[in-house]
Amino acid sequence: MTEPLLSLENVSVRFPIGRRRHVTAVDGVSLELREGETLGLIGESGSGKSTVARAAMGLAPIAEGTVRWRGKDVSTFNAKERRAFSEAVQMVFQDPHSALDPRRTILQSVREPLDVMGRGNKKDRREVAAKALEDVGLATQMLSRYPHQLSGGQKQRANIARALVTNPKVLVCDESVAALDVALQAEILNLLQDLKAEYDLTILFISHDLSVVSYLADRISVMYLGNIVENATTESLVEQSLHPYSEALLSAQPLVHDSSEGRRIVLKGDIPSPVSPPPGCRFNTRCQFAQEGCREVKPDLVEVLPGHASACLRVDELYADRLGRTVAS
Amino acid sequence: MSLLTVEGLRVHFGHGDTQVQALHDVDLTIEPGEIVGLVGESGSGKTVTSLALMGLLDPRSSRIEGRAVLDGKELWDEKGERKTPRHEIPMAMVFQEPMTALDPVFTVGYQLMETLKVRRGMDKRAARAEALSLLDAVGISDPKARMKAYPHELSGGMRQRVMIAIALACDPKLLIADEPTTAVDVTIQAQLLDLIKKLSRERGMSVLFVTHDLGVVSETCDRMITMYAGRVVERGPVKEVLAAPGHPYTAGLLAALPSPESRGGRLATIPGRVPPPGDVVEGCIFRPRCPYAQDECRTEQKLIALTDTREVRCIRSREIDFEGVAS
Ligand SMILES: Nc1ncnc2c1ncn2[C@@H]1O[C@H](COP(=O)(O)OP(=O)(O)O)[C@@H](O)[C@H]1O
Ligand SMILES: Nc1ncnc2c1ncn2[C@@H]1O[C@H](COP(=O)(O)OP(=O)(O)O)[C@@H](O)[C@H]1O
Ligand code: SF4
Ligand code: SF4
Ligand SMILES: [Mg+2]
Ligand SMILES: [Mg+2]
Repeated sequence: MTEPLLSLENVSVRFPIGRRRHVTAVDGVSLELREGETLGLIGESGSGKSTVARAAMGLAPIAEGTVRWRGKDVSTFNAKERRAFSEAVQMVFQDPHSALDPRRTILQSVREPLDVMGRGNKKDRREVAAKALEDVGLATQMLSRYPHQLSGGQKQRANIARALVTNPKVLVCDESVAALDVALQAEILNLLQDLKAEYDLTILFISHDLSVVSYLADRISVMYLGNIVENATTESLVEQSLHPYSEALLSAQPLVHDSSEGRRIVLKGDIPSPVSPPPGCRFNTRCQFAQEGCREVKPDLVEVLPGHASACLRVDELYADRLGRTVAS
Repeated sequence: MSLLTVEGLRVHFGHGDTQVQALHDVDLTIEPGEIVGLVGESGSGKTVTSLALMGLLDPRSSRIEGRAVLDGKELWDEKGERKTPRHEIPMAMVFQEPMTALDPVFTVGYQLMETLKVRRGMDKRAARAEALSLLDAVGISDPKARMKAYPHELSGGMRQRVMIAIALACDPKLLIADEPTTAVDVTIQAQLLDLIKKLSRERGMSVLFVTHDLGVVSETCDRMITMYAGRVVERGPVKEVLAAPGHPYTAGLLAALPSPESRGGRLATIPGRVPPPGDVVEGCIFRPRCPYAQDECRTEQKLIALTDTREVRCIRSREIDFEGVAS
């Protein structure tokens, strides 16, 4: 198999909170981003999705584990490699307002990453920025406008253009369509697919919205309290999930043409605080299948079907039919 | 008799030359115990409709026209001024962001008890007992402990439950819920939707459920109303409308939804934007964005009956084949 473009190996990220206390936002996460794919990352807020994104970009304090870019540990990069890496992995944020400087024109904002890098002369940089703006569908007359003169959708397009000017290999989209109405969301999702083809992009697409992720992603990783609990192709995850949390998440998604009657698993309570996560399986406080052992042993993420991994102690027994296995009792 | 009847509701903002009209002759009825979804993109006029009914629009910068009767009581007079004192109107509202409606410096218990004293004339003891029972009714565990909590100490889902409890303290026959689940996770949304349905069923309480999410409407509401640019453009029973929309705008909203089945394909879009109040559109208000527009659409459209239970503001509704939409 070809080497992944970007990978996380057993990565943990801890943040200090107050004196001698820490929160483990990401706990031993392994993830592979293969060239040309769109990998979706879903989970409730607070599950650690944004921190994974920042870790993948080398922007989070890694306590344990390794982030690799084309097989090489990014912590060993020299200045030149580091710069190439940061150009190659770009982020599109959720809030289209905050990422653009209100005092700069759209063209200036989009050109800025190139200015910072000091790449080429000013005219070249302007051309690259103008081309990116054209590629995201912003008309030439928008270039001299200021953010407040743009609609939400136009601002998000400008943000995407800004991420594209360094000609990245990887685009990390963190809730990039969450703030948009459905019609605008559809426009941006279409745009991302076009750009992916045109720029040969690999995409890490983070969202709490399963319908958006399952539309866009080739594979999906499901996060819960800092852990990846399930990993599969989109089809396999949507049609035959092998983890109680993913199933609950899937079933909670309100659907237009499918009544939820009898299908919905309503989880009790909120996601616990990652400051003091439950022992054993972190999902045990909300899992309808939790047993004694689930409070003692922490399940590993295990490949239970080809390309489909689940972190549940009871996976064989709960999903015997989907696994095509008979349970020894 | 309908619980709520609204006829020709208009809302104007501003004065003189800068005055703009945000709502255009909105008609609306809600039956006792019914959950009615109000949908449309942002800027369609959903919140203005809700605030107008609640009497929460600032009279210095807005003007209301039309008629609204709730439970037999006129909500305002010909001049658009409140007719019935607020505490006599059995209506309450919950908002998208509970922190804007909850007071950060008072405990949950205090805010709940104050509402009960003012709206239901209860004394301290009765208010306390009722507050505890309301917290229990909205699914908050250990109500006694939660009474002492400040809003910021609660999770988003909990705050929304507290908001609902405060709304229930007004003993409403109509609950207006404006995007109550938009800011919470799907798992919490599922809990809140179940709660709202349960409360509606148990108390015979009607709900005007404002949302931009058609999935939520499908799972929660009996009837739905699509709003566009301050106008009702379609209404009817949820199942029927979603199975076969009658207005190109409703159809467009449906077709733009992503799903695993549409993976790899392009999503339908609705080019352009909702025109803000004051923008002049000749003829059908949706015409600049409508893929089916023709010459006959150059006249202003009225709501016309499609069936006994359905209405649309589109002259071409019957001829259009919304192919691929009603899947
Ligand atoms: N800089 C930080 N300092 C302290 N805690 C943080 C920081 N960033 C994230 N966290 C915590 O880590 C957890 C995961 O956060 P995040 O990665 O933002 O989750 P998600 O994107 O899935 O909502 C949360 O509990 C959050 O409060
Ligand atoms: N107080 C106000 N003054 C002027 N315009 C307003 C005011 N409140 C809302 N509007 C405008 O009315 C239109 C409808 O707004 P709103 O009801 O909030 O839409 P929705 O809730 O459907 O997103 C929007 O164009 C909005 O900008
Ligand atoms: S390990 Fe136990 S608690 Fe965790 S998901 Fe599996 S059954 Fe549920
Ligand atoms: S009247 Fe014409 S423009 Fe208006 S919605 Fe119908 S087809 Fe479209
Ligand atoms: Mg996040
Ligand atoms: Mg609104």
